[in-house]
Amino acid sequence: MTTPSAYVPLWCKSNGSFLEGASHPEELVEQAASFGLRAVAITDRDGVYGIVRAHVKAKELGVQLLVGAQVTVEAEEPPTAGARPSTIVLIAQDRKGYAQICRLLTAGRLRKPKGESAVTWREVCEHANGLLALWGGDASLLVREPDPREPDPDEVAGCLREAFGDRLYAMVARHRRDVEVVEEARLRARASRHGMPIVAAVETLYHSRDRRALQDVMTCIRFGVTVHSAGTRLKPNAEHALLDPEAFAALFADDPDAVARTQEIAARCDFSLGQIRYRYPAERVPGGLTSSSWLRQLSYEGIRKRYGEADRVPVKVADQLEKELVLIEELDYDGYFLTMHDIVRFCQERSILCQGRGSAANSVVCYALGVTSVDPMRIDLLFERFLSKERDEPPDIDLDVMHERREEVIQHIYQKYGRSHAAMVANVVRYQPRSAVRDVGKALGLPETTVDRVAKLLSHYAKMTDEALRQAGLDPASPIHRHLLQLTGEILQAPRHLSIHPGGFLLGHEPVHDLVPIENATMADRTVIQWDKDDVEAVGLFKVDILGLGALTQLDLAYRLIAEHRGEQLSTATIPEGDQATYDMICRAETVGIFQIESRAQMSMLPRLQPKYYYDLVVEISIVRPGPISGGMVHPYLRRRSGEEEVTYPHPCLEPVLRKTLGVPLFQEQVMRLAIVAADYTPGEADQLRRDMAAWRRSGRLERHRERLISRMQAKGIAPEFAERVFQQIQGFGEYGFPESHAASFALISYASAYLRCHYPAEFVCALLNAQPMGFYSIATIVEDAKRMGVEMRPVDVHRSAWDSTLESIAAAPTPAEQTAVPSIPAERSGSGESSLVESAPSRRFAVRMGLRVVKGFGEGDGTRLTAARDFAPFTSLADVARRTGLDKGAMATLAEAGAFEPLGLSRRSALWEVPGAVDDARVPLELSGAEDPPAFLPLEGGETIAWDYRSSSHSVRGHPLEPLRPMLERQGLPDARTVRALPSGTRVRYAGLVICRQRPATASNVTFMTLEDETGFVNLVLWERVFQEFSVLARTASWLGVTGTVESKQNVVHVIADELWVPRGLGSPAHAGSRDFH
Amino acid sequence: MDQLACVDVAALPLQLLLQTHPDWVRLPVAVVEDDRPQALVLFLNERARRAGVSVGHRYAAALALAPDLQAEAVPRSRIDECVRALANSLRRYSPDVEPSTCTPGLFWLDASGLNRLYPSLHAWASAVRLEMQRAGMRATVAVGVSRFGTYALTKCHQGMTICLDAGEERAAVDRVPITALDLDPDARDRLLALGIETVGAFLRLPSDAIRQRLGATADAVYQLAAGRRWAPLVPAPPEERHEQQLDFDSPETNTERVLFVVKRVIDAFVARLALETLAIVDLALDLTLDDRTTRVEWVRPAAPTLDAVQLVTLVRLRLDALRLSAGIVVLRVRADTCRATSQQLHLLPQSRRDPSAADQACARLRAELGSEAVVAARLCDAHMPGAKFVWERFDHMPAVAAARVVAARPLVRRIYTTPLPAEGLEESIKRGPYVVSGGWWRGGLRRDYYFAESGEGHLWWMYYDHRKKRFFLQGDVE
Repeated sequence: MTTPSAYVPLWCKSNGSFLEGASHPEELVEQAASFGLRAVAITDRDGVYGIVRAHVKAKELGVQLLVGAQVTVEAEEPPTAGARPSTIVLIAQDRKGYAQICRLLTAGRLRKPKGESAVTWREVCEHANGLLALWGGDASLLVREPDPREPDPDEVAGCLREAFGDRLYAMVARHRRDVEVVEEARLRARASRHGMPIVAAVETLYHSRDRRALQDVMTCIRFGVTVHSAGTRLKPNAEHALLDPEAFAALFADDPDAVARTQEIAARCDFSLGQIRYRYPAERVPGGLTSSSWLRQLSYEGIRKRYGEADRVPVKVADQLEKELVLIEELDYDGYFLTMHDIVRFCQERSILCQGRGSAANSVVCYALGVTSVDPMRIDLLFERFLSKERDEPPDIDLDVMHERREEVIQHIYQKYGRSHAAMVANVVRYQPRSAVRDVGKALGLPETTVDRVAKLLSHYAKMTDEALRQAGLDPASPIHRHLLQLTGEILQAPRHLSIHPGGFLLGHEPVHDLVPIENATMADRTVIQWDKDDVEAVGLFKVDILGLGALTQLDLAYRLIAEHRGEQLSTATIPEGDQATYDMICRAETVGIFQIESRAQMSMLPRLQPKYYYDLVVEISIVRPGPISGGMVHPYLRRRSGEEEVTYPHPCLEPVLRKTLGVPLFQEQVMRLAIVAADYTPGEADQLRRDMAAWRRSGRLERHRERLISRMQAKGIAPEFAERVFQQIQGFGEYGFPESHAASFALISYASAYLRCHYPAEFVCALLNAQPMGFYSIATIVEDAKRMGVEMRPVDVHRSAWDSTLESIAAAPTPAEQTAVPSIPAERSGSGESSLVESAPSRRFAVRMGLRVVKGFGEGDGTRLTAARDFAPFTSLADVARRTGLDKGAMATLAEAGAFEPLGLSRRSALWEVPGAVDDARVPLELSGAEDPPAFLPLEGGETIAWDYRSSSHSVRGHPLEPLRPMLERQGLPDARTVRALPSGTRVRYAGLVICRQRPATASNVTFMTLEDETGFVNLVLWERVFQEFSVLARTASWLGVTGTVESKQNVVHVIADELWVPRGLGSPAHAGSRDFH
Repeated sequence: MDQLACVDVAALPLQLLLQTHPDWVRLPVAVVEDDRPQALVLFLNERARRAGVSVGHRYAAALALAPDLQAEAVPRSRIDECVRALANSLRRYSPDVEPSTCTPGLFWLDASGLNRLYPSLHAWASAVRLEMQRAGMRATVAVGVSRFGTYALTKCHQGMTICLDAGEERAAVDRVPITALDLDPDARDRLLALGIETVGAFLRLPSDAIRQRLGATADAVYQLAAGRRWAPLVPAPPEERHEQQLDFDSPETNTERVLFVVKRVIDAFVARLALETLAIVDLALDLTLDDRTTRVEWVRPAAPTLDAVQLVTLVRLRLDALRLSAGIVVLRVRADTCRATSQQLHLLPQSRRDPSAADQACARLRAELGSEAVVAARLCDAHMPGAKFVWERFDHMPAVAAARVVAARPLVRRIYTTPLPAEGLEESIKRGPYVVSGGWWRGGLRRDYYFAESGEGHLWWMYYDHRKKRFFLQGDVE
């Protein structure tokens, strides 16, 4: 006789069964634990998407997790027309069984389009080793009436019985549906004929009945229907919840043996994800060497190269190198490092710029192998942040590769390891507020236009509220809107579909499909595993991240331009260190386009922090982060740096740890070191502290460190107040604390791009334009900034422009277009810049010719045709262009609008008028004579010219959209940005500008930051929550905005604190490139 | 000189939409082609326009410009119905009314020869405008001499415009902005890009280049505007109703006599419809009785027909089946028609062996027992027993389906039209509960179904309704 607690849910689908299960895997495990169940199975549909999260939670709660999947089976190929697929649930008994599930699912997935899977009965039988099979449920062949189009259930039963033996069970699933009576009778009869024991189950789709509505909505989303038209696609009742033991026993009161058998099954399984023993693929090594000795050899060669000669390697570095090599060998991670070395070497051989980022910068081995360019000893980085014995987890090395050529590196990895041993890590796309509103609203049958309106009014992270509904013109009290509100909240973070991680690879010595199923990605020739990066990390697998970085592309392009036009061979390694002019420029916050320090928040910090050295850049990059900001570290650091506050240390032992940040902890590594020095943590424990810091919001694990840290610090003589404050700072770091190693890597690129901006502005701008899309600003802002730097920007020209933007010698004779071009704004009119750069020789030598790529709707193929025809002979007329390029009317019209035909003596309007005739005539084999006289069109006025530029190419080299409006703005008493920046603090001001950026950081206590721009530069706005709410529609959407507020000016940083927003009247709607919004 | 008038019920679908949602008046509003974010914006109000939205934008893009934009699609049928009604109203002011086939809400009227009825054209135009207001619509009226001229003037002037001669009209039209015309957005934008902002400037462009540069539609407008294309008024005929009213001197109770007069009407209908290549879909008999009650009886042949004999037979069956409370005082016979096939145009049946005999038999049954008498069950995709099928009228016998082989004969569950209270039967429950619940989005319900058995072996199918907290009999089991 079974006891009420004696049952194991064997058929549970989490929300990892995309748009079917309505509970997170963790919720199912937690609910099972709360019911006192000793074990629970997660059997997602054709996948193992939810098992890692369930495993972590089960380990935490001491629940046995059975790992399996509900597998879709089709008849032998080709399937008979009309045959329905059926299902079987498979559960892994042991590691081998788990590998069989992964292989089987891989086979099923790879033969089907993305999102589908099907295996055959033969394949199920072939993979039976180590698996338990539970056959039943309403989609199972075992309960169906015989159908000539489908396999005979008795035949299949025979095959399964032969393959699985006593590991095959007939699963009776009950959900209080009347049809189940007949189906169960059929199942029992067949089970009896084939000697299959009966086991009881419920198809569990949610951990609590409350999720029934969500499950219905997810079903609707999956099938693309509404709740009103879904019909029997929805479950008929709410009987798919995880049952407590009493309810389950009552449901199967007539068959207690079937209930008891659930426990028998759990007892037969001893597989856990913790058993996955992963081996990194061994690299091919030269004869006579082991992986370890080969790594040692490469590392020593590398470090000698870094320092010039062997005897110049500092002892400290040599000692650290040896220590790392010993640890790497001990942990058997040699292969991983050799792989990274191989990838870096591949990049170097092909001149692909790359740089390791992340904690790899803490390792001398990585420095020696060329994976990073940061000398960890030079800035005393903490190796344990990268690798520690206690952690027993693979290190995380992210390799940034210039984004343009990342695909080459990816293909190299596929080619080297093969598709069975290399697969890309998934990115599980989860519901966010906007997607949730869209999908749930559609499923509820709300008009799509209404749903779209609600979604657009939501910010990216804001949850749906009554207020949001009201703003969209919906009545929050209406029942259907109540459902929308509730269900959009419930569906948040549920997986929506599987995408591909930008660059994460899983490599394995064993085939990857023994670790996790592999499936097709949307992108051709890409395969992806069923786990995302967090899952991979949680299971302790090695991941190689190849991430595309636009800044590296920009640097590469700039170096090439410098080499081509000046014959100078420059690289990140050869750029002079500590250049004063570069740092002066950074201090003035002239950093548009400079990697990592171009954002509005960074620009506000630069004049206060006044970076003078490389390490200042490391601090600058780290300090404008949620961790230091919410931890209250920014102001103390700035005060100490400016001498307003004395640099003190709470205890002499902490001075070495905090010295470089003036006694204020700013980095994760410092917190770790602080724990080691002040609280006697081992390096591994300190790393655990870092991880708990990252997860404290979710798990509260940080609390367990509190007592230990504080009491040990006090024991060392550190004041209790300081000990408490340190702990609060650790809390403040939360999940956002920034590692010094990341910043150190980024700072190298930042400095290099800043140097180029300072000394080679034309090359810098040209490269930045050609590396788009990247960075923080639109092309329009980049162009405006370039003009303020004194770089001459030249318009698109059918005679001169290549696909990319190019450099033209200033000395070269101007083209007809140049003669008519509006000259760039002189330096004395520039914005915050008032830069000395315009005086530097290099900026005067070259102008930037805008490339054809900036013309909207003009494709690269069109560009190739145009440049090829032009190279053959110069164009003589618009008809000549049409005839020799074969461009269609659309492409020609976009060029006309952009003014590219002006060098042919045609105004834009005339060109636009002539294009259709010219293209039509070009199709006639013979050249037609006697062209008609074009009508006389009105010439474009100043404002119109700029508007046409923006419409055709989202920028204008001829002027800023507000320039022609300036007299009218002045008449209305509205100053320009330069004037606003010069106003004393506390001045009331009215200002109007174009919105180029909005930010509403989560850590800013609902403060919104906006940047407005005019022809003289930027004005930074601060919007408190009250103002944002009062003018929310304008604040979120307006691109041309007026503001009334108070100037706040401190340490060369000027903000306008807004009181009121308004739409400028009587000035029309100036051209605009759109704002970059981050909220 | 002949006078022509144009009446523009501007953005008629938008006006209809605002009639449905009067609370939207102070918001930006658009009519979209259908209900999806990528739908095109077809009409919009001034507030939407001020926010930068234009006709031709996608709804999603428009929303970016006007975040509080309200939008809905207006069904074509509703627009057509409104246009028909407005045309009928306008016929009171001019016998010749031509509704635009392209722009709903635009009408041309012959305004000549009205001086005996109205003191001036101005008075006439005022009356027309007032009529449109009575219909709940805001309209603009222009009287002039040309089709394009009057059209253009309605598009740029509010209220009324009267131009008595061609010169006056031409001068006014030349000043009309291009944006006021219903040009396709592409051509409109191209003209504006070229700096062409008025009709006059448009007409100064070289005529032979218009089609190539701006497309056929713009060319048609150009030719019309330039007076190079003659477009006479094409008034739409008033709707022909196939309807006849019969007044009886004394209340008629004799079916034969009634049938006799109806037969004459049907014969006349058939002869006329044959000429128009139409056939009768159904006949409505509107009866007004001596006791002032009214009723409508429908007769529907198996297929659209011009077979008078068949129709008279069906009318006879219907009349025979009627039990009237008093004699008939007035009988109005109406015929609904459709385009006839060549076979239907033969007045007599061509073959004695009629494959549609079954359909005709059903038609006779309907005639004898009422139009809802012959129905078939259609299965529906739902969980509730009562929602798993619907009875629907069928006009044609379905093709015979192949028999389905089943392993065991299923039990037949007879479902009651209305569930009956089942107090006390819960004692006899043998099986259950089987739970059906759902519809949470409209209040929700939950029923626990059971099978119960009486002492005599009778099987009941019953449920407990959780909302009503009572047992009901859903049906029984055979």
